[in-house]
Amino acid sequence: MPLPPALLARLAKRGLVEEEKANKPDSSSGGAKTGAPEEVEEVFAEDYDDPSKPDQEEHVDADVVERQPPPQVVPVLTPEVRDIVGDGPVFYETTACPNRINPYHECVLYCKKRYGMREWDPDDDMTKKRDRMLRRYPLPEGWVEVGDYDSGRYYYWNVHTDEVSWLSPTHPKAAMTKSAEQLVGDPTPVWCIFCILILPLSLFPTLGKKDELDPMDPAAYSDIPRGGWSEGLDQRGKAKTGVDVTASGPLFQQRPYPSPGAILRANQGLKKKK
Amino acid sequence: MSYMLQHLHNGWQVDQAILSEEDRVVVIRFGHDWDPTCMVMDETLYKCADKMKNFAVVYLVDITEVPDFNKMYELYDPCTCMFFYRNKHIMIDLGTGNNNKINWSMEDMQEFIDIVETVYRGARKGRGLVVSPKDYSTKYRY
Repeated sequence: MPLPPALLARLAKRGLVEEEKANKPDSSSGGAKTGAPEEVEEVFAEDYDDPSKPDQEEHVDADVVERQPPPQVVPVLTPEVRDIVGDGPVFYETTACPNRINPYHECVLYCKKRYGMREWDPDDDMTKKRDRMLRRYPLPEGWVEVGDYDSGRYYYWNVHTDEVSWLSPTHPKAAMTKSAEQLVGDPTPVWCIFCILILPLSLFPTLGKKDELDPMDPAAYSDIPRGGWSEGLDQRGKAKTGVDVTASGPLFQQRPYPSPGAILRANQGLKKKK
Repeated sequence: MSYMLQHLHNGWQVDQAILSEEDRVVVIRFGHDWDPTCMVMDETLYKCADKMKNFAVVYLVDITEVPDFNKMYELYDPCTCMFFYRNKHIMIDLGTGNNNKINWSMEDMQEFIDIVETVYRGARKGRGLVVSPKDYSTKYRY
């Protein structure tokens, strides 16, 4: 059964599919790279231009790392990857490294050793809701459930179109989009912004309280009524004079008055407003 | 002498008086006929009116009767004289710090005619601000 290239690439990145298999849909250059160097004169070009080269290195790296702890979520590497994916939610394992929010940081072996892997502990309430939703709106063909470590929730990924959705795609309110990673380009800054924006708000709940009277507000220490945001702004027709009040400096003496007709029209407009 | 000059009794008349003048400066005196300062000014205006009828026309406006412009034109003085040309307010640098109007009464007829003529010449050239032939800053007045 032919796998969609998006899925293949992802699985290859995680080391679940052999490199050859992942590279098969690619052109012959991929095969040439993995195979023995038959065409010696092309070695140079391969070294620098082949996009799958870093993947391969990562794969080697991952081999070293992941062989020791066997992958828990996906038990065996079966030839039918669809079956693996169909088993249950997919998890993209990441380290619990705090430097992950740094877009220029790439986790190395040390990160894993020092901080360990992120743990998946879904909320009971969330699990209940998600089960109910899946019972009502089962996933159509091609959709895979994926666990999101950051939010502790599941999302749904279409292996054919590479679309994602927080709700089951059959749900009436489901919004299927490209992943944020694809929309923005680099995934890390998005997470970084999320961290910066959302986390401090949740850490400082006092920021949300808007009704409290600021002690520096004149309304707090005098009889002045509490003002709204528009209080004290320049209002039309409230000006003391017809001249341009914004003119200052050398222009201050050169502010002609409007013509009487303009004044009459302005007065008329003010009356109508009242 | 205010009875010899034409009065404007509402805002619309003021507007029309200025709009209808194609090629003459419109001099409007804002104030009250009973005000002594205005009486002096009106005397001068009446004497000048005939001499400068070719390039200026004089109107009187009672600011109690026509309060429409009091706020926008800052008519706080007992007697205020303003110049308009083709529906445009013409400013005069009198040296007093207020370029918008003459807010005192002038007794010298020739001085006033000179000012109006300067306004007329400047306005004809498209100037919005003209310089008075005489400096009216306080050191000359007192």
